[in-house]
Amino acid sequence: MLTFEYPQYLFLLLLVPLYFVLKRFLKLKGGELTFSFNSASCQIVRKGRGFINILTVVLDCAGFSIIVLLMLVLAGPVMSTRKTVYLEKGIDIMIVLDESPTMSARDFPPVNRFETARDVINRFISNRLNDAIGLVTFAKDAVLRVPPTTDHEFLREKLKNLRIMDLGNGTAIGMGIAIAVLHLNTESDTNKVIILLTDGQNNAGEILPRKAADIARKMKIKIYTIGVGTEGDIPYVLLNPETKTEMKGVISDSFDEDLLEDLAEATNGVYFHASNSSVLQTGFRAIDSFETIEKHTKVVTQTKSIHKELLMAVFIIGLLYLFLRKGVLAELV
Amino acid sequence: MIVMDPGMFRLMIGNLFVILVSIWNYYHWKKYLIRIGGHWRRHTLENVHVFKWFFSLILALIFFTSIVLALADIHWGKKPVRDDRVNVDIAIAFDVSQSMLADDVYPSRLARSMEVAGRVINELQGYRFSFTVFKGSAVTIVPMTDDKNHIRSFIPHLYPSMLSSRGSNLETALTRAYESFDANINRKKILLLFSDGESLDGTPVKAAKQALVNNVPVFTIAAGTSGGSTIRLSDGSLVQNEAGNAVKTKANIPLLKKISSITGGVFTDSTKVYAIEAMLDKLKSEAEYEKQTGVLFVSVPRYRLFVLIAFVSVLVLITIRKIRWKDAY
Repeated sequence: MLTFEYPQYLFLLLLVPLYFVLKRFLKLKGGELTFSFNSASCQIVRKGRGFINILTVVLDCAGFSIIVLLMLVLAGPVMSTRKTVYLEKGIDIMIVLDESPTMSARDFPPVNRFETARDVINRFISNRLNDAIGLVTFAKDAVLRVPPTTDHEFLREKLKNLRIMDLGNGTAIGMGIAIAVLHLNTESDTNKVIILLTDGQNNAGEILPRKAADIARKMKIKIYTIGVGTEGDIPYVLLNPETKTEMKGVISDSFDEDLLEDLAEATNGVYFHASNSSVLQTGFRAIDSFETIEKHTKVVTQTKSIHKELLMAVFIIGLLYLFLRKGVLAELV
Repeated sequence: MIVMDPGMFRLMIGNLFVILVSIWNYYHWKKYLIRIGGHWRRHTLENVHVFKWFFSLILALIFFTSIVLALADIHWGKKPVRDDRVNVDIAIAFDVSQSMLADDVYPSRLARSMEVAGRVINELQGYRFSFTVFKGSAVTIVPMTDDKNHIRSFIPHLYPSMLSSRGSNLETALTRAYESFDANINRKKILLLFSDGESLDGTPVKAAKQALVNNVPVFTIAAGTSGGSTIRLSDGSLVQNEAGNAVKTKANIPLLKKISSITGGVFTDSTKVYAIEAMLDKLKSEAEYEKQTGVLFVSVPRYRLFVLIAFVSVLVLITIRKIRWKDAY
């Protein structure tokens, strides 16, 4: 929206009609020589020379537009947009995502469990604008991919680049939780939450999941656990990132439901069983609603001055005006 | 006084065009006015003509010069504006170019900067940080976060080989580090630049001016000396140029001082302990200061003054056109 920082200068526009009045008035007093003179033939140019007449009108308009544009620039033209900003960041959320080979099981159409989880997490991030969200992934090992940050573009980029089996073959749930706890141990006194998403049983890592959850509980970190997958034999296909060979097979193991329930219960969290993509999404929506806090916002008006564009137009029109008036028409001052 | 867009001064060439066209017009009419008016009124005609022509030319030059000065976006002075931002976000831009291996400060520019960066992160409580490393290109390795453990884990591994690009570009570094700020949260923003000031590409001052417009002070922490030294690699060998001579690098202290001065930041020599303490105190007081006063001093653009001059010159130009030829005819 176009607004003006100093709208009082727009009153100068009232000078425009005054200018026309004065122009007419002074003209009658002989302020200008009112005939055209052909300097080459040394003869007065007769009326009816269409090109010169049109050019004169165009130049009058150009001169007029220079004056009006300068008045507008004096009024400080800005394009303003309204934006809601948060007065403080919200809660700290750490997503702990399983990237073991079993996450490539194809019981979550259209692709697999991992892609569905990635999609749901992306949507979840979109709803938590002022929350600091981090990402830990685990398989045989666990690593921090993104520390809790409100830079969600950075987070999305890292999430997009995740590949199944980058961290080997295994499921180190305890390590994943421990790393999440370590990086949630910040100076801020905001609520802290871990969302654990896995489809397997803990079979790797030096730290047991219950021990990690115990540390989380002591630090008042809540753990929401989501078990992903369906019962039975599920086919899987994945590309081994090391050997670049395609691996195929059938998964019959499921996650340890009791463990996930315990982890959630010990930390005042909630356990969800996501047997398909819509249930997984519902789980994230539920967490979204559980972790709703009062958000203090204010609307700020951001402005971008457009005076440079207008001034550049004045400069160009001014030069053309001068060239055409004094050069082409050879006007006498 | 800061000229935000000095490139616009190139438009001053337009004045030359104005002068040439006006001179041509003057001599053109000088001849024909006599033909129209006759020799017996020659002096009267010439007097009016010279008067009108000369002042028209001067006013046209004033007009175009004022427009160019307005386009150059000159700032001077500061004005207070209300500021309700609380807490501070700090974006660190850290130079990992090869010149940072120079050992004109002990143990090396890089090691000294790493030590100071570590202190900044440890001592500033409640601040959020992002960490951007740069050479010819810049990469944000840690987004804006209050997870200091994560940043601390990166610092010992800072080394030129962590980026494949060559050279050093402070403009890119400042721009990329600025992008790591969160625009959706109302916090005070400060940029910390750890560098020896050697910038082989880009226009760092341009990025500093943009930081000024965005009210982001840039604190520069200089590593290295103006005397400079050779660059010793981790295997003990010296970096050599194509002729086989050892390359000597000098810290560009004036550039770093200029960047901090433009943006209202602080320049710090990383070799001086008291200077580092003063910088830390200043950083700590930034958050407190804002809480106490709620006032921010911003630079004032003065383009409207030049536009006003241009506007008045146009009005006078119109008036000159109306000066009567009546006495001559």
